Formats: sequence, structure tokens, C-alpha cells
Amino acid sequence: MHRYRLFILLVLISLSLGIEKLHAQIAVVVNSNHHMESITMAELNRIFLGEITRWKNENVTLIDHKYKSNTTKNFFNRVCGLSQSKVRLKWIGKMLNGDFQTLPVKLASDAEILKFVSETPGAIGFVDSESLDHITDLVKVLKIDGKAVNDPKYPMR
Amino acid sequence: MMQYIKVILFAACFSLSVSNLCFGQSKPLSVYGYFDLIARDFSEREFPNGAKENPPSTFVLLRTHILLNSSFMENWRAFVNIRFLKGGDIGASHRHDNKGHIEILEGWFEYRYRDWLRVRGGQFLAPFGYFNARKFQSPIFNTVVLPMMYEEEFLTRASAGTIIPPIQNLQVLGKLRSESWQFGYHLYAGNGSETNQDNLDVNSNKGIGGRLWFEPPIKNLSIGTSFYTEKGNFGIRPHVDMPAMMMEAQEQGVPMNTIVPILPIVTESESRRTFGVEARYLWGNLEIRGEFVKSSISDVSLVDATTISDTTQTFQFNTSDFSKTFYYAHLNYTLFDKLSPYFELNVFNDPRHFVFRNELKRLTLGVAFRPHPKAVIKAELHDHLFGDKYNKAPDDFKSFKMFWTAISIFFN
Repeated sequence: MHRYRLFILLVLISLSLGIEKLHAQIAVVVNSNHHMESITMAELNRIFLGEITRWKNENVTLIDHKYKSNTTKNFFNRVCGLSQSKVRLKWIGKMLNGDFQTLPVKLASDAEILKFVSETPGAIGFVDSESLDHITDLVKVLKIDGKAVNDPKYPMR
Repeated sequence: MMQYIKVILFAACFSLSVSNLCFGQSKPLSVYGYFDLIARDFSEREFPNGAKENPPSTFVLLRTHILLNSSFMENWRAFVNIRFLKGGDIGASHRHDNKGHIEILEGWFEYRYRDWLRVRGGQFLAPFGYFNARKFQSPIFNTVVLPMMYEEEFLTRASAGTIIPPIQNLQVLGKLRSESWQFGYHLYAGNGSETNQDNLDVNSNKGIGGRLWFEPPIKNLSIGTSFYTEKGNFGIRPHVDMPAMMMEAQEQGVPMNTIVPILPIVTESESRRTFGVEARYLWGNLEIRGEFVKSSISDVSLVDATTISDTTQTFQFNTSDFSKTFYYAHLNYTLFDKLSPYFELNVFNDPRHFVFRNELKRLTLGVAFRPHPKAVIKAELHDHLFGDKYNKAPDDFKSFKMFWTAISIFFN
């Protein structure tokens, strides 16, 4: 009987860990010199769909994830209402119109994204909130709709 | 004149871009592009005399576009779109035979004051309807060919003339937005569509137009309207529908070999007006899209047939209505993020059209496979049905089927 209870407990623990991973929070990051502290979901939508291409004083530099993951899937679905592939197709359309000069920078890991953002004014990207443990002073995490990442009402939870 | 402007634009853009590259500024020249490999086959005869196009045995390289894009001095952008056409008969038009044809399709400078005010000058495709300003951007479309209203080849070859505005020269555009809606505008003016025998701009007529679009608070819905008007001499005339004339002559007891068709006189002050509406809605993986366009030419003069001859039978066009309408509905659904089957119904109505006699319907069934966002493989089957108003066409000329397939690749 004890074995069954232990088994069920282990299954529940692994399920809960898996679910936690599936619904990991997504943090939106910019360079620490960036003028914004908070961004809305609507603004994020337009930035990642290429409708907004300039901040106040510099061009928006979008960062794309090289590999597909649950983080990228959730981000593009929730922010853009489209899959990552369809968003990439929109970016190509922007280049063909002349609106984009290059495709967004593709980086392989959250660490690379944080490093790139720290070095590039105007860059904006998203990472798994677990990666924020390695964040430096050169990177700023934006609030979304006025809610910080650790807020229970954070929209990208 | 336009040739000189093109050369100056190209040289200016290129030198600005190269200087950016050389001096290592933050906004260098970007060079990228795309190409289309295409194959098609007619399953039925296209021409009443039995002539049939020899289909290529495999894919041919239809076109390659090289794009140069450069930003400079904070708010300026230069863009050049060079098109290489090499598809044999495919894509040929009245302007060129499409065998090694190279042209600067677009070349413009743009000054951006804010998102709501940008000014563009040079040469660009007129923003009209959902597709016209980007009608050659094949890597982002699922279909091999666009709705008929945007086609250059079919409509010009079939005499009706394209119903979409030609290349334009000066544009003011922008976007206004709130949290929940977005509104965009394009207002433009250009040198019109008239060209001389060498296909050079004659600079005698002028055109103005615009497009307005709106994304309301309803998510993924977009609606828009476009308009264009031009005054000048377009040389668009009804083609002589000889079979229809002969049938009518026969019914009236007139010897067929005495018929003389009388065409409208060309005047210098015809007015062409085109108006369109568009709507698009995305519902998950389902896309629904539709457009309607009406184009008309007024002030066309008709000859008084009685002044031609007292002894010869004449057949005069009995109307000055040179309007034509077009609409289509398109549905596609994306499976597994890579595979998109689609269906499209096109209806083109032109009472003066000599081939399909007042109406042409095209049913399209196709599928696009996109293994990567930069590459798409497409195949589609078209079934064309002629209206045949006079019911005079031979049975094998009332419809024809076509199969198209294409591979479009974007590179950067």
C-alpha cells in the first residue's frame, strides 16, 4: 500500500513540475538604459508584429529565439495570437515591403539574449523567468500592464 | 524621363548604402531577395484554333528579386527592388517578352516624421486593395497566383487591361493607433499609366488614389477601401467579338463577309475610376478574405456608323459602358503550422471582354507546404468557366483547367 502511495505521490510531483514548466513565466527584457519601465500587451503585440519599429530615440531591435520551446510557443500565441512560424513569416513580409531592414536577431539561449540586450540599446527580447537569476544591472525587466514578474496578476504567467 | 529618374534613384541608394557599409555606421545596406521556380500545364485547350502552350517539362526560374534596403540620417530610408524575369512565356505581358528582362520595379526614398506621417517619393507599386503593393512577394503567399484582379499577364493579354492602378511616384502614408484599434492611410499621386511605343512614360496624364484600412477592436479583423482615378488616353478598347457578331448578323440575314466592326474613337480625355473594398478575418488557423473592385472608363466616344459607308453593313457597339467588376473569396486553414489547404472563388465580369464574353469564374483548389518560414512549395488547380453570354463558343472553349506549382524561396 505504501508503495502505491509513494508511486502516486511521485506521479503528482512530476506532473506538477511538468505543469509548472509548461506555464513558466515569461519575462520581457530590455537594455537598462531604456526609457520604459512598463509595457502593455497591446504594445508588445505591435512591437513583435513589426508595427512599431522605433522607440523614442532609437530603432527597435527584436530578438527571436533560434529554437522552438514552450516559452516561445506561449509567448507568440499570447502576445501575437499567432504561432512562431507565422510571426516569422510576417517579419519576412516586412522586409519585402522595406519596413524591416533585417530579420530579428536569432539567439540560441536565454543567456545569449540577456547578454545581447545588455549590449544593445533598443533591443527587446523575452526569456524564461527562471533565467533572471543570471540577470545583470545592464538588463531591465519590463512590467507588463503595470504588473511585475513576481506579481500574481502578471499577464505572462 | 522615368529612365533617368530610375538610374538616379538606383545610383543614389547604392552609393548611400555603400557609404554606410564602408564607414561602419549602425544602419548598413541590407541586400536580400527571393526567387520563384514555377511550372504549369493546361489541361484543356486555351485557344479556339486548337493552339496549345507547350508546357515546360519541369520548373523554370520565373523571377528573381534583389532588394536593397538602407536607412540613413535617422529618419530616411532608401529601397530598391530589382526584378529579373526569365520565365519564357510565363509572366510575359504587353510590356516585355519575359526572356531575360531586368527592371527596377521599385525605387524610392522615404522620410519618416512619425509613424502617422511618412512621405515616399520615387517609383512604387500603388497601394490598392489587399495585395497590389506587394503582389510579387510570393514567399509570403500560400497561392501560386494572386486573385485575378492583380494579375498582369492574364488581363492585359486578354485585352481588358489591368484594373489596378499602375506604378506611382509620390505617397503620404501613416498609421494611427490606440490600445484597441489601428487605422492606416496611403494617399498617392503618379504619372498615370500611359506609355509610348517604347513603353516609356509619356508624362501626359496623371493619376491620384489612396487606400484606407482599419483594424477595429475585434481581434484579427481588418477592413479597408481603395480608390484610384486617372484622366488621359488609356487605349483600352473592346475587342472584336467576331463569333458573336457573325451569329447576330446571321440572325438578321446579313451576309457575314460584309460586316465591318466599328470601334470607339480614341479621345484624349477619358476618365478611369477604380474603387475597391476588402475584408480579412483570422479565426485561429482559419483565414477568410474577400475583395470587391469596380472599375469604369467614361467619356469614351463612339463613332456614328452611318457616316462610314452606305453600302457596307456595320456593327456598332451599342453601349459606352466600359465598367467591369471583380470579386473573390478565399479560405485557407493551416494544419500543423506547415500545411495550408485553400479554396478560392474568383469572379470577373467584363461585358466587353472578347475571350470569356462577359464573365469569367475561376475556382481554385490548392495546398501550400511551408517546411521553413523562408520556403514554400505550392500546387493548385484552376478551373476557368466562361460566361459565354451569346452561347456561341465551341464546347471545348467554354472552360479550361490549369495546374500550377511553384517553389518560392526567400534569402538574406
